[in-house]
Amino acid sequence: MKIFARTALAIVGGYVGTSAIIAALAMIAVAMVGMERSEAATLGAMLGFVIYLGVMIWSFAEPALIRVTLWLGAVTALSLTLVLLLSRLPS
Amino acid sequence: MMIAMALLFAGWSLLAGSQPKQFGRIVRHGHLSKSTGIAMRWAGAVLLLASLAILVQSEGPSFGALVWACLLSISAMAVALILAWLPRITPAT
Amino acid sequence: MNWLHTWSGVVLGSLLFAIFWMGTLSVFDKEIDRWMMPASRLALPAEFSYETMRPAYQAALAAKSPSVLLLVPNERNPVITALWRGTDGAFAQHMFDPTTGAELPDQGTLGGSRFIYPFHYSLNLKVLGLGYWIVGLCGMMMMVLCVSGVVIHRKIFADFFTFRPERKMRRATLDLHNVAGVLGLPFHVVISVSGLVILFSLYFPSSIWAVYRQDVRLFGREAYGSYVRPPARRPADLVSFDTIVAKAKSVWGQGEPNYLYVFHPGDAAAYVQANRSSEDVVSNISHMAYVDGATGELLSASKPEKPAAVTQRFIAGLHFIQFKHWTLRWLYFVLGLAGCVLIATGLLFWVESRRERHRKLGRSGARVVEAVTVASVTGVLIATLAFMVTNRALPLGASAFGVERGAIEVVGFHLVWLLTLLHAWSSGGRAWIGQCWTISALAVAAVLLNAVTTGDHLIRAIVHRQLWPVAGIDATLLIAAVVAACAALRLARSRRVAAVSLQEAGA
Repeated sequence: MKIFARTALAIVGGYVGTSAIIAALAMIAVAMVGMERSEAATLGAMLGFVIYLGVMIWSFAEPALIRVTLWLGAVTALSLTLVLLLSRLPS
Repeated sequence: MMIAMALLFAGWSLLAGSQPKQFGRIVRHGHLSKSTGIAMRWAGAVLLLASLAILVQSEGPSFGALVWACLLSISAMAVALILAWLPRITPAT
Repeated sequence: MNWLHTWSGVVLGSLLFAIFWMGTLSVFDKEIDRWMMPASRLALPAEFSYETMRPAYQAALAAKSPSVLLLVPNERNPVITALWRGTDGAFAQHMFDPTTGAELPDQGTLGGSRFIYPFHYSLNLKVLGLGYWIVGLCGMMMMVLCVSGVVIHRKIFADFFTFRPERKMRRATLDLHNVAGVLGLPFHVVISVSGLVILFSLYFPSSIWAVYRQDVRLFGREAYGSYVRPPARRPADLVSFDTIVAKAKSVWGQGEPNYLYVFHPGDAAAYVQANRSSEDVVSNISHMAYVDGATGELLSASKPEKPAAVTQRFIAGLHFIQFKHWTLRWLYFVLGLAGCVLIATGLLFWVESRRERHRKLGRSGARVVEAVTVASVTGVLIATLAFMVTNRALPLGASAFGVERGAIEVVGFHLVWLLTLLHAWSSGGRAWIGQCWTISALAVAAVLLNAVTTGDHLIRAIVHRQLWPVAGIDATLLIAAVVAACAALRLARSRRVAAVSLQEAGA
């Protein structure tokens, strides 16, 4: 059961978290650094593979599963908030 | 290309030979002195880098580096396989 | 980490092996096409005129297809390949002679580029695009396996060249796993990453959604300079293909196109997308020019790519190997095989370390995994060979129970694969030997059948330049037959030795 939770967190949680993070990163790159949209989107998606790998390995390696859950949840929430805030900006 | 391949093979062989464990396999009951080991290691590394230079020269930077990276793995595997069967080819005298 | 490596390896090893095996074959997908489609074993004309593509275009026009993709013949694919939507609404591929432009008879096979290659990236599972996601997850897990493998393998440099085949099976298997893994690590990592990066917009679309919001299609237009326009609903003729190509080349300078994509054939608003072939660079560049079909004027061209896009195309190019470099092609093939060895020995080590213990405890774990391992390693090899043998054994235009020739080959592949699993389950540890002999026999049968049905036996294939792909496949099959036979003999010998020592221990 514990193994199942850990695997689900790594694969599903990791994917959702990564998607949120790269969305926020891409928006920040466009809004604040002035990167072109297509560049920001491509760069974000490519970074996604690295971030996802890191999250997966971390959630398999970390003894206290709750710590990964909380951190990942917090970062995901923060990223989604950023995405919402930045999408209100007039583009 | 052929020269680069030969250099890579020789380079990896030297690096493998510089490990006391492998040295004992290649030269039966041979003893590897520390300074020889270090010298072999350096010579091996130089040969590996020299092959990169040759490949970049003949194939261009991107193709040269790519060919080198592929050959680096393959020649190391070839050395490992040859080392594995070497003791049988040269039986103990 | 040890736990992670062991269990993700056992759970995904079989799938990973199939993906790696099919990927390794895809390195030579076009050559497999030549082998499986004898009518396409043609020589390229010395001087290719793009107008030779006219009959292919006319055929698509007659079928009232909304678009037609015309692949320019090249060294590896010496025919004009045309893809269009037929009157029945389904996309179909047709081949045309590169010299005369005449249509070649349908070869009734999916071959390497339409069965083996898509199997590699989608398992040919089309439901909900599920295959892509399974392969993507396998790619991510391959990277997790690479990282965890390095972490648990502490004596990485001391054991750098250590392979001791004379040791016990279990130890030798682990040695080989380590050698293939460590020495091939750069390849395994790069090939997994680059495979994923090719499909970045499928796997991680959220960054595109975020910056483009509602209009995701705009990404294609901004990133690649893609161009669209609706049909005018007035008929018009298409200007000469040579004119179109000359116009496209005025955009990108030297370099030929690798395809011409005609939208709205026969319409006054027809336009042609031409893409520069990337056979002289590592990167899989997308350098497109859009030419007006009725006037031959340039409509749009992709702008020079920016850093992130350049990086993405380069990484994709590393994986696609669309460049013309035979040495690299073979090196990729060998490294791909090393990847297969890595995965197979990993699975085998798991079985070897548990077989005795599970047998004593009366557990079926090792037995189940061994059967699955046999079927996914030697089994997929047998299925692939059966696919090729079926191809040469069936006459052109054959069909059974309303199933077309191409589909029979695919059914045969899956049926044989299933049979290898049943065989592996019923004969336990001995299955390896039987399946190795089967590989050997099928490989020889494939070579013989090719010689009999097409007359292009190995010697003839070596003499004629346009038959070299066939010679390469035949030679590789023969080498595979010898290797499989040696493996079978060696396995049989070690089984005998084990049996003898067991008897002695019993006495």
